[in-house]
Amino acid sequence: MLTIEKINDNEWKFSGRFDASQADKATKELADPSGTVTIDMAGLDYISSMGLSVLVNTYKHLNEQGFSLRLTNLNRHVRDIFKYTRLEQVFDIVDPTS
Amino acid sequence: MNSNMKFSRKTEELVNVFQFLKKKEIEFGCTDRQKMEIDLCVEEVFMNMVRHNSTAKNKIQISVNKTADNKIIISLIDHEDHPFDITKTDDLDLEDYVEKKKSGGLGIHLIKQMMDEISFEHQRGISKITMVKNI
Repeated sequence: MLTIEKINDNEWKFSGRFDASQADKATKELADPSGTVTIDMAGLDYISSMGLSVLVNTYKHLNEQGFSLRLTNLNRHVRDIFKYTRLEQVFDIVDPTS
Repeated sequence: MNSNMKFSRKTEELVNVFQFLKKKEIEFGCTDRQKMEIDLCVEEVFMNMVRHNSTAKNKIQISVNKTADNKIIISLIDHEDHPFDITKTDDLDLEDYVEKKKSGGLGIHLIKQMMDEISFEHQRGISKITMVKNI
């Protein structure tokens, strides 16, 4: 189960598990940002390819408007998913290991 | 403990798939890292079966077993008229992928990264994908 906490218009906290069953919920939540988006992933334990797809699509949408997607505080396992897929080259990842 | 279970062909069934896997992962003494990798690879194959065979009514069978030499053997079995052999898919061109910022095909790439062996069989309308993880 993915828990999404909205901090302000462009900042969220994701925690729990971001699997395929949570993709629609996350897509709706991230549908209409008005600037560079920051997602704190400190509490995120798991992300599958469907979760990555939501983030890539959000990135594309933001990039078209001149904004970016910043991901912070990824744990080691989640960080490695981004490393394996080289998506760490796409997103602005800010965490203690970077 | 039962090593086989059948699951309905829908995304919402993932919660039950993960519950089943969790019991087996604890039984087999998997680390947190191994649990995450097994969950992820099973989700990717399960969702491929859900998406590529969406009109079928039968359930998808998942079995998880551990061998004496510490290999976790995971099989997903589905009835498929048009088999989709994930082992035959081209390796993802990650340079191209990152350049174009695509968002599909990552699941199979992740399975190839995380599992030690992957195999596919198709006989008389039944597809079986087997993944092996050394622990």
